[in-house]
Amino acid sequence: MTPPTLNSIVPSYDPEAFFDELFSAPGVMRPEFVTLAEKLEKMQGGELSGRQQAAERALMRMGITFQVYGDESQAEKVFPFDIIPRVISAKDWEVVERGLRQRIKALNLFVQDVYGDKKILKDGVVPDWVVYSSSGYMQACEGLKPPLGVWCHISGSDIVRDGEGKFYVLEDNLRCPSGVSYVLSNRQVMKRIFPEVFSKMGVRPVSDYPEMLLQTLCAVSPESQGSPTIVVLTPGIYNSAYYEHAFLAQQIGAELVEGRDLVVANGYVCMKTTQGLRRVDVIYRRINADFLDPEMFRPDSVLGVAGLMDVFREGRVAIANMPGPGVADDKVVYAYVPDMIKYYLDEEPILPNVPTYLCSRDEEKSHVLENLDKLVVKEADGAGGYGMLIGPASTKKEREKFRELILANPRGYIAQPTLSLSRAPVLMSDSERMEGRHLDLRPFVLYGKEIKVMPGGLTRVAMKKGSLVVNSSQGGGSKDTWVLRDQGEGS
Amino acid sequence: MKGNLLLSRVAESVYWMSRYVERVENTVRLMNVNWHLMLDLPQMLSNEWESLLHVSGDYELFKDSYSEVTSENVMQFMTFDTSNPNSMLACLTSARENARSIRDVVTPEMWEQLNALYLMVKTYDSGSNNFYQNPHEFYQEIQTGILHYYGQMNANIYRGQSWRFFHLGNYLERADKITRILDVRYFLLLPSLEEVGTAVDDLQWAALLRSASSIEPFVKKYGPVEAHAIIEYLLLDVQNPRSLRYCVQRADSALRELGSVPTGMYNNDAERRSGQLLSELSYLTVDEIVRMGLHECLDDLQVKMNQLHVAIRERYFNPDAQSGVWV
Repeated sequence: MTPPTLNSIVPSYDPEAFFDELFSAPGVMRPEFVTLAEKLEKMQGGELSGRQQAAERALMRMGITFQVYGDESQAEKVFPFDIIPRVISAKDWEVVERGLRQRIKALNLFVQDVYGDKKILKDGVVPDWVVYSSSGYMQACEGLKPPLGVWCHISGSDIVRDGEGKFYVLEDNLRCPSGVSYVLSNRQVMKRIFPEVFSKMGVRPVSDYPEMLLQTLCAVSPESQGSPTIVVLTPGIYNSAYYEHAFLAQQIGAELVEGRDLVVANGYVCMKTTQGLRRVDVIYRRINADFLDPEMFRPDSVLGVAGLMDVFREGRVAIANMPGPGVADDKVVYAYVPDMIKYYLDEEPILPNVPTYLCSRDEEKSHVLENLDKLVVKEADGAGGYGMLIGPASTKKEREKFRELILANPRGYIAQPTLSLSRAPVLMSDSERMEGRHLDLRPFVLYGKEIKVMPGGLTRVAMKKGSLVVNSSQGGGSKDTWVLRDQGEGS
Repeated sequence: MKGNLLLSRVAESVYWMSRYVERVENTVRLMNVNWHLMLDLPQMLSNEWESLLHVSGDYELFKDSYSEVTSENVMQFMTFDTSNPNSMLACLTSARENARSIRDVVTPEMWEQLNALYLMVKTYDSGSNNFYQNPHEFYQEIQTGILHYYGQMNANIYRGQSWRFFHLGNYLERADKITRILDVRYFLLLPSLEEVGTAVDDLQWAALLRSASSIEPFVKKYGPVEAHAIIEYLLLDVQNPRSLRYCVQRADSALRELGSVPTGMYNNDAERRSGQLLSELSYLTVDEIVRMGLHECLDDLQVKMNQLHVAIRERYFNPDAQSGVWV
């Protein structure tokens, strides 16, 4: 029975040959998301695009904009946002969450081990040259002992699904993963736009993230009495993630500071206030680790605080994330994470890695060079979608360039099969019609006294047709991510 | 204990953000009043626009890029021209930049309002909206937007240290503008205070009053518009929220609350200078001002306000100048 007001947005959608997050077949949404399908169908002509525009206006007004580096003349842009949510069932999420907990536990033990006893290197599970040649390895961190043994307080591994819908970890981000503010503001906007759908579908809230973050930071404070003084250390207003730094500081009641606001005095890190110097207990850093302390790391840094690491060693200030975990962001080290999980936890990995060929191994290198047109080649320390070769979409010239790069520096490159990344429908701007676009997921994991996983995370979507690159620097956008409650949990 | 603390850098940004917003408020008021006045005046008296450029001290800058003082040019220069640091758009840009750097102090609602106001002026299409023929509606919108911002501020800002800097910025800027408006208008209007009385003069005095303040309470208290009464109303009337004395008094209280110092005492140069200025304004009479010469008197007051600004900067925004106080 089809009432006459129904529009064709749902029936006309074709997921094609991909695994689609929302649709099981052309025009058919997965049964657990039926409430959303009904809502979308009931919207009158123009209503949906009207809501899309309302969402964009709201984001503009909230000032959630970014500016392309080095181009001051260009107007600020809203991070593209699509109002069709990406929905994850309770069953699927349960696996992802367990997998993330397991992974971060192992990664944290690895970082601790690398800068401490080095058991995993001595046992030959991870070759030591791999670790010492990682661009994220920091010699100055040797022997450091952070409170509770936690190095990676805030992490955000990137997760993808393949053609069958199976989840994989694509890469780990243990340094300064950003994007959580988009998750929170996307949700805020979506609640204004689709209020009626939320309670009906049992979407799990994300708004308690700041509270969890605050608890995580308090847990590592050297000052056990009273509430600690926490600061968010930002490079300043010209950083592309500045909005997030300010937002999080406000949400957790921390001071938003720049390096010039801090100074080491009387053995403590202090901030310069109108009433004089004031001791700081916990630094949530959003500047790169090598800028933290010019005396320890980069001497040319003006963003950090001279003498900070000495105070840390005395146990008088905590830093989150610690400098050092970047060693595991390297994509060659990444290839060993399943082995780390077995080594430290004696468990099978719940979330698999994407199969990875290391060009530093001769036989794998030959395989990569023979199959450049089929594989994705990445720089071992690359990020942001730069420095990549997507084989099937590449030209002969590009492949030749990468062949030379790999031969010149095998340690610097890895390759992975080109995954048929999952897709989800995106609302087209020209009309009331949806098309499938590839996406990934960056869930956020907090590690203090215990591990907490935010339900959902940042869904990044390639807004360009056919594109596999979801990074915002490459024209990617985002979607709100809805993790549904388990039915047994009640609504 | 975290307590109530404020970074020096943040205090300075709050102060400047407040000054810039208040500057826009004063400029838009001045522009709107002037535009209305021009409709009532004979055509040849177009030097009203010129005087307006003197209020913000931007006449020379204007002459650099515009050949003629026309209403259109002045409106463009004072509203949208970002090469003029005192234009509304330039001030809103600066206010917003400052707000951005202290987004953890400004409430999200205030930020949204300031951002919306900035976007409105920045993206406004003056050509297709018939702006130069009828700027009233647009100026009204800006004024409403600023009042909305102040409403958010007064309703929601936590009354901690940062609140005092919101006040300091607001009231010192307003104080500065009052003296400038009075000084410039007086200069053009009156070679000598005794030559008052023509119809055009009355219109202009009324316009002066409207530019700096509201006229209704004035009429209620003083009767017909008259030069001496206006000087008293704008400089000395303690009940007029847009009088110099009122502004200095508010700034003085903000400083005393910051330093926890009672009236009549001081611990630093900022407190001393503001107390001195306030007591001067409290016991000054209009006759004394006229005897001294209004222009000379205003000049003197401006110098003192400037010294106060410098003293505040030294005490609160320049932590390197402080000894290492341990809190």
